[in-house]
Amino acid sequence: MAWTVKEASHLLNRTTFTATADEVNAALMLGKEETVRRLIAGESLTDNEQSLLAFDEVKADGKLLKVEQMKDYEVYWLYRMLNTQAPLHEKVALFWHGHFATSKRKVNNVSFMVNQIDMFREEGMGNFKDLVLKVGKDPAMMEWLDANSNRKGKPNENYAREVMELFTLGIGNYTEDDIKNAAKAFTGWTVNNNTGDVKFNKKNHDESVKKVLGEQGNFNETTIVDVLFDQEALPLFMATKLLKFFAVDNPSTEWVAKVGADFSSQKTIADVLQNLFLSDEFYKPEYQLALIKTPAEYTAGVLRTLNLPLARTFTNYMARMGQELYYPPDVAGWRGGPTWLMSSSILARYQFAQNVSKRVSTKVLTAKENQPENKDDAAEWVFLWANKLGLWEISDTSKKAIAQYAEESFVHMKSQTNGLRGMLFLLLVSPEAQMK
Amino acid sequence: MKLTRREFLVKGTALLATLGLGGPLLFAENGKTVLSSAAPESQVDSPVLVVVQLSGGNDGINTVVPYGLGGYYDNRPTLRITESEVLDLDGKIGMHPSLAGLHNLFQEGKLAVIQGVGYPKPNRSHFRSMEIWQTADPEKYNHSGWLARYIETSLKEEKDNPLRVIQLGNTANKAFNSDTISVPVIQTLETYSIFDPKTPVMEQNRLAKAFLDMYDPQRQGTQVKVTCERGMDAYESVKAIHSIDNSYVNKIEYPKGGFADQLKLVSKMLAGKSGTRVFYLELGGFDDHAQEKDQHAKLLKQMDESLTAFYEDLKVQGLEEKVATMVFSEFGRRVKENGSNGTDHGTAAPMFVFGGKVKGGMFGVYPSLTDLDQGDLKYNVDFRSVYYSLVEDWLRGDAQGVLGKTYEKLTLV
Repeated sequence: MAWTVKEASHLLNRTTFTATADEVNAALMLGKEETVRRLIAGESLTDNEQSLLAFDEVKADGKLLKVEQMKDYEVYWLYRMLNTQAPLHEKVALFWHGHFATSKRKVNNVSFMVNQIDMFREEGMGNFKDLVLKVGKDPAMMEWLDANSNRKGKPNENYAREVMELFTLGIGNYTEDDIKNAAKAFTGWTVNNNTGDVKFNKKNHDESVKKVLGEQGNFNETTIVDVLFDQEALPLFMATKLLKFFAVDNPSTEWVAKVGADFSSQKTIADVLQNLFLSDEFYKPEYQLALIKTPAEYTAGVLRTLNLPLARTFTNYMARMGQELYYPPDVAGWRGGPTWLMSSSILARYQFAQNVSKRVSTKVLTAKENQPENKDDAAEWVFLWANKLGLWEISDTSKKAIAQYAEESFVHMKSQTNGLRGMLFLLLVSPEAQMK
Repeated sequence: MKLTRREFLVKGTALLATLGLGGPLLFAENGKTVLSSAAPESQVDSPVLVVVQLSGGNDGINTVVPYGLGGYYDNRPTLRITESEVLDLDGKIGMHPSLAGLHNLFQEGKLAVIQGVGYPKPNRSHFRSMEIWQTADPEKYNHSGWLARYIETSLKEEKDNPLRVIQLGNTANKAFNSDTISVPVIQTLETYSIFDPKTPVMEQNRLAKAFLDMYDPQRQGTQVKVTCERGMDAYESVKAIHSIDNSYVNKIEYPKGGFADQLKLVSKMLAGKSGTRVFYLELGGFDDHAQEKDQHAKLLKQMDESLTAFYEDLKVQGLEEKVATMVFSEFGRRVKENGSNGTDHGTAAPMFVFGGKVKGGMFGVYPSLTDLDQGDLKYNVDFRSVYYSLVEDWLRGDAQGVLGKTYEKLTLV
């Protein structure tokens, strides 16, 4: 299997927030195995030892972020995507945020939300069963799916339903009776709305024998999860979700089966992902540039490659592109795929591109290293800037269209900055820039 | 004169172009717009359907309240709405007190209340049930949306109008799922643009040309094709939306909130003769598992006031007879309230249809509150009957093409 710019940039597109030239070069030098190992381990590809600033040390629009504001935590998450040396860990946190989709809209407690995402960041590459058990006692999730109202004799089925339908098995792999009985197993657990203290109240727990998914017993919140993990549907459901996020919109049944088998036999998500990123299948040409970037990936990628200072407006654009962090649309999370390209969302991408192309300083635009050797050649300008923006696989059609623009607007002119901004805008709105 | 996309690509660059609000508009050398702004007269006069989706599963039993039916009081010890509170409809059934505006419309004979609407083997998952309503197919996973099929079978003549169907808001909606059509999704007019209107005209033309070249699906590889198509559709709809007459000022005061804003926009587009045949809007937040009483009352009030203002606005414009509005939710809620002063996912629920030409009144029969299926109401009107009636009798479209077979019709118009 070849390991060229094509494969390396494909891997980095899927596991980081757009690959810069330095990172692609580093990956080529390190080789596939070591690159994958470092991505999984969260080690820098470029041996950059800079660590992340804490929330209250980060500035946006020149001002420090403020505790208590969800908005500022959105900005801080964006900061992490831009500056982390462990980008895959941020991506995995985004994956779980969409999977165990919990929204601030109902939870209404900033620290519960932040703690949940921290948990995904820290444990998201670990054992999936451990994660499901933790999520069941996570204050944000408990608020979100009404744990406090799930009591003996008065069950609330909200969590029991979603844990099967959306978190582990998928629709069609359980019955309404399974939900009713599973809800009883979760009774008695409560969360304090203010402190987040999670407690078990024995007298509110339903001790009866429950029949769930063909098994029978006095299940509690832990043993009921054992029942879920006995189901054959679980690894396949999770394999599909991982493949949709990291590989392709419609994975073949063979591939799902293969990754599903891996999901069953491996201990951790990290192992499953490592095998996926090392497999030949992952690098097939038809999968390259075949996924639509999420708004988070698009926004962070553009800002990273242009190295722009953080501004609060960026997360507003992201929300208009269809992804507001900490506010997934509902418990099924973001739908992904072509839904990212609904007209209002794709227009928000174009408007963001316009906004950032104006933010790039004249100094950067006219810097020597950002000019091609042959300044009279429009194609060279386009090539250089496409690479700078991490657009490694931009098509000839797009290059030609943008080169023609460059030719007419700045290449042969004295004053070049406006035309350069126009070129930048076009590169960022190109169809390829929406893809990974 | 209207240009097809192909002609636009070829001729577009040769023409002297200028800009509208945020979108490039082509002008011929004599200064007249090349792309006619309004849809043809015949399309402007055609009937319009506004679909309102209440997301989260609206508690139908506390929306159209069976206060005089056996079982209601006992099953709703904390949530029940008493006889003195309801807005009576027929002596046994009444509307939630928040629905004063709709109740007025009922009394004027402009609101149809369809009782006990559902489908066989009800699904209690939000997503699956919503998908069933949006694809009109309870039996299998269907990729195609019912309104997409309406566009495909019945709006062939309107093909060149990118605004023939519009979705307001910002969430993906399977009702318009199609391999061949993409429907514009609009949040606000102000944000529906591609180029900054402050950019000089010449520069906008150069950018537009490069954009159109890059986004020509014929010239790009298969992986990016979908992106090209979506980008191109967005471009076309921006162009169309900024060429309609946007000068109408709503004379009716709407309540605050996104839902009312969207209805206001619908009224503006109708005033501007957009030629739109179907608008789709969403109001969310109906998933009342806990503490339902106040939340539900508030949300219903928001819905009622917004819809009533919209109807008044249409009346001011003399459009009320051209527009019918249909309101539905993915399911109702369980008859018996749960232990947290809320209700869990249920099945059948009422639908509303109103408009100047709608034949108001009660349709169907209220399902029994004592003869239940797993604690839930048994439906007696299939929602596809409602779709069928509206497509055939109101939109004058190919109802069988949309729904695959015939359904018993209700005399809604």
